[in-house]
Amino acid sequence: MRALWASTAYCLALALAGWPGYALAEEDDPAPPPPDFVQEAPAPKRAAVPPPIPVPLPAPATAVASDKPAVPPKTGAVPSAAANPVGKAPPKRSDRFIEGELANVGAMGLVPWQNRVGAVLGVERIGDQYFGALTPEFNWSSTLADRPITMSLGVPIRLELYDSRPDKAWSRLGKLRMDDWNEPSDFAQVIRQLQYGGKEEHFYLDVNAFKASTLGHGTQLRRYNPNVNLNTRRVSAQLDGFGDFGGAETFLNDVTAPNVMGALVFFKPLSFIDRKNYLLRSFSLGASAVADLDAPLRNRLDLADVDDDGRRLREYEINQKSFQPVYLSTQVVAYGADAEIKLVDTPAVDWKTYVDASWLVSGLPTDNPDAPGFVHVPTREVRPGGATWGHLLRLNLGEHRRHALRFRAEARLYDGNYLPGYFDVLYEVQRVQYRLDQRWADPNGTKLQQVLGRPADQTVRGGYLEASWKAGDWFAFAVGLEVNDQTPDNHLFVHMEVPRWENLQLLATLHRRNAIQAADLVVWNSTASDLLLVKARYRLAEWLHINAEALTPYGIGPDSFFKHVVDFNMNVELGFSYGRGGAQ
Amino acid sequence: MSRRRVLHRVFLGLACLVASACGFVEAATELTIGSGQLQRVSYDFRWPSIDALIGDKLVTGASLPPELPGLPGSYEASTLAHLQGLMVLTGECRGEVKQAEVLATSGNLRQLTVTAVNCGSPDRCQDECKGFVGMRLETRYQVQLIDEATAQKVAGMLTGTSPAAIVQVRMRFYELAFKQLQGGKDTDITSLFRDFELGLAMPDSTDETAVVQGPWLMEITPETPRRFELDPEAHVTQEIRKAIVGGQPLWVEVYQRLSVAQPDLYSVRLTGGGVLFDFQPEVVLSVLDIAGGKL
Repeated sequence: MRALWASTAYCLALALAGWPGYALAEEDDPAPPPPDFVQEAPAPKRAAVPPPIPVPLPAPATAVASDKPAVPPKTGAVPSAAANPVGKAPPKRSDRFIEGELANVGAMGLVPWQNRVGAVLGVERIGDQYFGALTPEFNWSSTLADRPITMSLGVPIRLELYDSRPDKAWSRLGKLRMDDWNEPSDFAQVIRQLQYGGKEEHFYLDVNAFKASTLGHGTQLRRYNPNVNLNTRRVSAQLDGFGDFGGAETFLNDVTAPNVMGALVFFKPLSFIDRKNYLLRSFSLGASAVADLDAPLRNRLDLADVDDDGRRLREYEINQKSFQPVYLSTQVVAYGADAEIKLVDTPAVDWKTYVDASWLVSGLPTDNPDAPGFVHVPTREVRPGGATWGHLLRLNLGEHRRHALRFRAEARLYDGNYLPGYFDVLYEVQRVQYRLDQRWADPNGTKLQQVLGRPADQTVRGGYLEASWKAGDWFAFAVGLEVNDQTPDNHLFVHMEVPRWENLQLLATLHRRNAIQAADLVVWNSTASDLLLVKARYRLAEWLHINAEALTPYGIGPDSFFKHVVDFNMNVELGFSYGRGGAQ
Repeated sequence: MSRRRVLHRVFLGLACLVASACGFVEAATELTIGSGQLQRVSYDFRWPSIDALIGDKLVTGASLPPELPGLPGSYEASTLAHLQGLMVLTGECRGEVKQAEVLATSGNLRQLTVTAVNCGSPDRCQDECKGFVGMRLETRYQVQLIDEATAQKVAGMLTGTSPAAIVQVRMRFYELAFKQLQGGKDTDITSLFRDFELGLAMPDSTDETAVVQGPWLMEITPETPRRFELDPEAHVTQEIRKAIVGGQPLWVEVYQRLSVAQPDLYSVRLTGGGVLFDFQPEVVLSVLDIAGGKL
């Protein structure tokens, strides 16, 4: 019921917050904007020439996450206001200052670079069951109301192959998995991606089944991917609306039954004074909150041996329909406020600084942890907090801004039981099993208890560094490092992406999470908290592609833990391209 | 593009499909060896008579007078309450009887030891009773888990396999129940027992591992067989792994501990009572590990 209300609220937010922002910027502003604004605004609807040719590529690199945008986007290729008066064509997309994320760090899927119709044949795993999968797919990119729109749909049809639970094996070979289609929410899985508008433009809607998301500076939600647990297939949504004097970002991890949701609102009070002065124009104040309304507080053990494998005290109870852990839940809420201002704003350089203050609030059990209860568990409130001072430097260099660079540096100070970016890359699995190397079932091993239950008395000092580089539309690279002086929350990621090169499309991310010390991040040996995502798509013939992936999935395995193994999977894609993006 | 090149690419694509999903291959090749390969252990053995439990077989150092006024000459129809009373008379809180040969209707059993602890009053056997009032019983006996023929057969299947390829050892219980004769037929008295624990150890080893504990005892019926995993780190589990891949017959020691509360002592008769015990050992192997071990 809570999820239903949340969905309803989100739909209202979509209707009330997003669309009016778009309308205000595009149509309802009766006063002609000042010249400097005209110069920088995209103003696509008023364009007298055809809009930019849509690029039927995978998700634009700016789509994953962003900071609060400096509306309007800069167009450094246009030298002056006079050179781009009202009614003239907006700058080509390739000439715009690239401000958002440069790479799809942590994305778990690829969208074909062509408009295409086809079907994918392969093998899929859900929990202990393996399926032969046939997924008819449809991809389409175009423009709608002068804004890019991308749609990728797929209808998974799964036939059971093998069930690794005892006494089942091949007993249901060839049977259709009815659980895929017996609830209204199942039909959301048809959406692989639906994206309209652009990140940091006036309107942005992104509904997708494989990307990671960040809200604001990432102080509360950073690169969170609801599908890291491969036993789930969730369709998440981002909806942003930005105006000259403020804006909002919102996020839902599941459009049908969300439990993780967040929102950021900001306004730019000094824009009322002078929008020509970039210091005044860029100064913003914001407030944000992210919540998990179904945060695991305590895991249930498989005392009834529901999977009939003989393990009871040594494994978590897993719902045998959904293959999700069963737990006692509560809520975790992160909330905070921030301020930011640009220090440099030129056609090639954009440098901003910001401060964030955030808190986490939830309840911790006060009963005996060695005899954990599951009914009327008494709790005490905890409310740890922290502060961040950060810088974001963005450079667009070269002819037609061929090279985009982005650097972020943060200094952090926080309570011992606080965690910056609490809703992070591995949140979907660590919320249940915080220590992924652990192979004994701990009812109190949830992220909530393991993080918020730490001693609060010592102040943690930490830092975050991130750099990314995007070269045209053919290559992107990103690296990030997150360290602190006390807790085992040292992280590293390396990402490489080839949106398209010849017949190849490639995306690879390695996340190394939860190293005890910063030095452990660079040891060669793999750890249970490493997340490797490699996806490649290769065109053998126009009608035949192969998809290959190497993953370290965090699906619930036969031992009922989030298992960490490297899976190599391949599947075949048959189909044909069509329309403007076809036959490339 | 030439026809040959197209065919080559199609072949490559199909080969990828066939070779897809290593995870699937891994799971699908997890192999359970159990029914039909390992012998099912099933027996119905009866406790020693109460006459054997008491009298000069009580390993107490004390002996009862040949005739005690008020006590019967035979205890055939006696209950645990009578046994408790006799132990009070002897002044001992712990009694033990051993039998080298165990009569069972099926299965290979040996070396039975029954120990009774009298927790009849708060000041007795405090170390063992810990405030419990009634009787505590422990039964230990050795069971042949793998006989010679089975060991050879299984070892033949697993030539060159490392014990590490066995990812799980478990017992599937079809029956584990305590019976006693009432009115000429067996009656289930399992519900009278508390703090039940059944476990395994290697003979002559004190390293025990619990397998079935109280809450789950009542769930086991022939209609609802239940599996119980052996602790993978336990000594006995390691020895079972070695025996299976080494083709060795194996005896393990089974212990059962239980308590009978004071009010229920009159409902439990030893004579004619016994335990029904029916389980199928199972081992789960990772075929990929087997293949890896052979490379």
